Order: sequence, then C-alpha cells, then structure tokens
Amino acid sequence: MAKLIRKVTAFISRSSYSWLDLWLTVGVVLRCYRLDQPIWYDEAWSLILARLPMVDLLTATANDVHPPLYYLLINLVSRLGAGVVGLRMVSVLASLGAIWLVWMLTRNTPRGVQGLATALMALAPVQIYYAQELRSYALLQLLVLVSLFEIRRRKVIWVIIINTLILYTHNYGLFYVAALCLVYLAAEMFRPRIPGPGVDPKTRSKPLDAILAGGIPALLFAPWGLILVAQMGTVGAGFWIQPINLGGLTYAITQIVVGMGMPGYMMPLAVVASVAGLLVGAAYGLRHGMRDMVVILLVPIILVVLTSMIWGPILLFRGFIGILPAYYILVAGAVSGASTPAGRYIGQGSIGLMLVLTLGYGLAYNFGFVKANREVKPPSYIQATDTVVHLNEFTLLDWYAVGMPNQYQLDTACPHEPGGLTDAATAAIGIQRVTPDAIPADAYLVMALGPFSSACDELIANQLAQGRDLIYLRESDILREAIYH
Amino acid sequence: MSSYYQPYMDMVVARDSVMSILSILAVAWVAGWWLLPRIVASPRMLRYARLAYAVMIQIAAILAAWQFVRISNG
Repeated sequence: MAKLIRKVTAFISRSSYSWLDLWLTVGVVLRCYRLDQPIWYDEAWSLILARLPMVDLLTATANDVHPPLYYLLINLVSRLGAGVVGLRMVSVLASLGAIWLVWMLTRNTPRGVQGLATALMALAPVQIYYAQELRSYALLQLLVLVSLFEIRRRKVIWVIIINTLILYTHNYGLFYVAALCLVYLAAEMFRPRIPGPGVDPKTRSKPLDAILAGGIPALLFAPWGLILVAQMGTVGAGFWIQPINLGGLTYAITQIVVGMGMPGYMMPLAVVASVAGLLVGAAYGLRHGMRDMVVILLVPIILVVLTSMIWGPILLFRGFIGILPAYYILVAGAVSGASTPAGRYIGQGSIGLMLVLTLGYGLAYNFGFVKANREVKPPSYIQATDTVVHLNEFTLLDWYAVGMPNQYQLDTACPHEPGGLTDAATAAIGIQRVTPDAIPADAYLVMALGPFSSACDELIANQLAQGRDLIYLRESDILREAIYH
Repeated sequence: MSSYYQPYMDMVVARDSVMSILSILAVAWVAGWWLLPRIVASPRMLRYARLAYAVMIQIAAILAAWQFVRISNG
C-alpha cells in the first residue's frame, strides 16, 4: 500500500503538468458519471435532429432559434451509431478540451492561479452539467477558449476559422466574437505590445488582422444571418428569455456562475458570491495585466444588455457559459494575488462561498441526490407502439425522441404561445398532425397545459376529453399534464 | 397571453425584485469593504466597523432569503 501511495505521489509530482493530469482525471470521472441520465425537452430536440437527413435538419433548424453547427456535428456522430451517451460524449470532450485550454491560458500566471482556475473548470457543477448535456453550450465555451488561445499566438487564419465556427454554434457567438476581436485589436494596438508566444514585441502592430478576424467570419455567417433575423421574432417572445432589468441580469449571472437548481434559501449567498466575485475578479484583472480576460468576462454581458435594451429581450443565462473560464481565472487570481487585503478577503470569501454552495449542493443536484424534476417521460402503462395525440409539443418531443413512433400533434387553429415550436419546425422533424375529428378511438389524449399552451388549447382539449377517462394528472406551478383514454 | 403563462411571469417579476436587492447587497459588500479602511483610521475601530458591516449584510441577506423562500412556495 505504501509503495502504491509512493508511486501515485511520484506520478502526480513528476512534471509541471501534474495538476493538469489530476484535474483532467477528476474531470473525466465527474463528466462520465450518470452520462446516461434521461433526456429533457431541449435534449429531445437535439436527439431528434441528430437522426434526421441533412436537408430536413437544416429546415428544422432554420425554423427554430439556433444556428446549425452543433446539430450537424451530432448528426455525423449519430451516423457512426452513437446513442444518447455517444452523442453526449461530444460535450464531454469539448469540456475536457476547455479544462486543458484554461491550464494553457494561465501558464504565465502564478502557480496557484493556474491550479485553482483549472480545478474550478473541472469541479464546478455548471461545467459538469453542460459537459453532459446534449446541447451546444460546452462546444461554445471550448471554441471561445480556442479563439483566445489562437489570438495569443497571433494565428489569424485559425482565429478567423474558429470565430466563424463560434457564430455557427450559438447566436450568443456574435457577442463572443465581438469581445474576441476587441481583445485581438487591443493586443495589436496598445504599447507596449501585449506579448504572447507567437509575437515579437518589436514587430509592427497589425490591427488589420484583428479586423479580418471579425470581418471575414461576419461575411461567412451572412447567409445564416438572414435566417437569424427571421428567427429573432420567435426568440424575443420565448418564455425562457429573461426580462432585462437589474434583477433579471443578476439572476442570469448567478445561474451561470453558481448553477441551476439552487433552493431559495441559498440564493442570497449565491448572488453575493457571484456578483462580488465578478467585481473583484474584474478589478484584479485590470490591475494585473489580464485585460483580455476582463474583456471576455464583461463585454458579452454588456452587449447582451445593450441589445436587449435597444432591440428586444435576448437575456439567456446559458448563453453566458463562454464567460465562465475568464471568471474562474480572474477570481482565482483575486484569491491568491489581490494587492489589497480587502480584495483577498472578498475574493476568498466569494470563492469559498461559491465552492461550498456549488460543490456541495450543485454536485448533489447533478448526481441525483437532490431530485431534478426535468424529465417528462410517458407513464409505464403507455406502450411504445400506442397511438398518442398531443395537444402541443411539450410532451410530444420527449416521447417522440425516445422512440415512440405513433405520436401525433393535434392540428388546431389555436395560436402558438411564446416558446412553442413553429409548425414548419415540427413538420421538418416528421411529426404527423391529426385533426380533432380524425383521432382514433383507442388513442391516448395528452393535455400539457403550461407556458406552451393557450386557453384555446384547453377549450378544444376539454371538448375532446368528453367521454374519455382521465388516467393521469400531474400539476405543478407552471404545468398541468393530463392523459385521457 | 394564456392563464397558464401568467403564474410563470408573476414568479419571474417577484423573483427579479428580490434579485435586484441582492445584487445591490453584493455591490455594497464589495464597496463597503473597500471603503471602510479609507474612512476609519484606527485598526481597532476598523475591526468593529467591519464586524458591524458584515452583520448588517448578513441580516439583509437572511431577510432576502426569507422573501425568496416565500416566493418559491407561492
């Protein structure tokens, strides 16, 4: 045993990469645990798109609210025979890549900063959550880090390619590319030149490179940009978009820093930790020559706020995942290297709170000790081959995605409520519609009345439910789910 | 807007009002910690001032937490 411990410690201390090895190993274990947990609504949408032919995938995506890159990627992986776990591995690998990049980007910082920032990347429940999710957020974060890494190396061609990929990954990519170009421009223009591995401080500055790093991706994104303009009408109305005010912004920042599922009594600590960490981290970055990290931390938030105020609400906490590595690096710096005792205290206090809150409650939430109620699965007495008619797509998508083919959407003239899929999108994924008078007698009728539904939906559902038995009813604050047979 | 959507929006509005108070608390925490040593000269008084300040922030946070739980429970 003692020999084994000696071997392990020798391995850990063998090189300068030892802590990276440790955090990558911990990262792999935490990210692969419970990777087969049930999918939820958004993941159901990804899973359905992963199995579609390319043309239908693009049609469905264009009629939804996101760009297509992530869906194309998982579609290719799906063609290799991957199931839910295999598809989620895309996010796992993206997240592990992000851990490695945070280590690389903090090479010139004090050792404690590098270790702590990398540890936060590996351990933070928000990181683990998105590393396991069948959505594009882990990929978005990875691409932002790769772009930052290539900007430091002044590899303008790579920056152009990566920035284009960022734009095609998520609509929030626009804000990240703007922030990245600002970082590039500042690095080229300000004297003394901000050094990097690929830059000689004596060479002339190349601000044109920074402009190209934003301009060419913008041109390459233009074809999808036209679709984006049409999509935005739907986005602004979605119920998952937070209203833009001080409270809404605070909620978004707290959700992305500390994590989801935090109970009400822990929220004040979570908010104070997140917001104070943001302030102290930014102050540390400005004082200690980490302005690029401050820009990546704050500029996307500022741009989202401005866009929401000028144009229409687009505040979505998940979209802020790209600021997290900068947050971890700057707060790690504030903990170990702030120049004033106050900075250290607040940095340490906020990060201490954050660690206790998130690593404790957040990990328990992620790993199922605290029940996460996000799954909408069919009751056990409904068989895979039964015919089910859904009032709207809330239950439809989940059941359809898990391999129940005989799912129909009720075809009514009811207007869509904010947050629902468009008719063109449901048609593109191959969901059939049935009119009220053509419903088979033995079909189950599912009423899911919540933010996706309208009073018109309920009226029609109640008419159809006449003469049928209510066999299942679940009610929560915002959702009522009833099944008639 | 349907009656199903309204409870969700009501919850968001109530939550955001508590959230904005909390964010002001967080800023006050940072600002106070930075300001206090510049206002209070004696180290002994500074200790007391910081203690009082921390207690004040904690009480405010507990009150906000109570509000939050109240909202969460409808």
